[in-house]
Amino acid sequence: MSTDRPHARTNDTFDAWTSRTLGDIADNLVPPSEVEEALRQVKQSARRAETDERDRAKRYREQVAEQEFQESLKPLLGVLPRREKKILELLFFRKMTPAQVAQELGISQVHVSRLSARALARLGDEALVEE
Amino acid sequence: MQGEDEEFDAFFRRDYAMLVRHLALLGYDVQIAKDAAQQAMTQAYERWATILDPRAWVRSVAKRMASRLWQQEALQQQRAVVAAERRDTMEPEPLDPYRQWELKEDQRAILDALRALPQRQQEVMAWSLDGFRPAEIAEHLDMAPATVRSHLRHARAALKETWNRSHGEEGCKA
Repeated sequence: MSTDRPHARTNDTFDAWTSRTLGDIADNLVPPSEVEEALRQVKQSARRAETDERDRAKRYREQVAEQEFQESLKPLLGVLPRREKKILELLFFRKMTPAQVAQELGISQVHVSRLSARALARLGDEALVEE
Repeated sequence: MQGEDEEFDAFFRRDYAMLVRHLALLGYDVQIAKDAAQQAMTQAYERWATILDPRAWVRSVAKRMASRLWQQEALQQQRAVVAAERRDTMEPEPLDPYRQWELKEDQRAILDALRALPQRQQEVMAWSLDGFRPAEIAEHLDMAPATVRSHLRHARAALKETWNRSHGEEGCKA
């Protein structure tokens, strides 16, 4: 009897059975061949999360910069001639392209660019002229 | 970063299967256990440098993830039931913790025994089977060490009963 049944009913054997079966369960759940693939996936989603995070941060920085720019523009608009004020409003608040502004106001696009550049220069913010 | 990466890889290779098993011992099915384990590992990788005890950390996080996934799935199941009742009287299958999983008899016996335990005993036993000492378990699960030891005693007794059933019968009769 005991020859083909190596398990005696002792604590040791119970522990051995438990740990062997649990080891089997782990292997059954995740065969060793699956581990590398899982590791690859983890790294990939970590990188993706990092990129998403960077994109979100970038968009946020852009939004904040945009808002700050608009806020700084608002009080200054009053000092501009009517047409220049209108151009800046259309360009920076209603987000039109220079071509759309030109059409809206019935002037040439070159003229829009020149007027907006002059208006911005007049507002004393040289850095923004590149717009 | 290179060194950190190697360290994480070694940790992952050592602990991933055990982490999935940990969740299975808590009663989660294979798919949820794997998804939650991967999510927890991903988070661990992202903040590797700041984690003091990775094995404990991923267990705590993975359990939260698994519980969330389980709730989502249960909710979907519930919606399916409602939808089915509108169409006809067909009952959708309840969530099966063993779905998509072929198990040998004694594997199933151990899992059944653990999953039948009261939740706290089950949790303490799962940590213990992963090699955590009672004092560590007490800390991570926010319990008194004496409570942990008492849970462990009960859980072990239940497991032993299972072992007696699967190993004892022939022995007794012989």
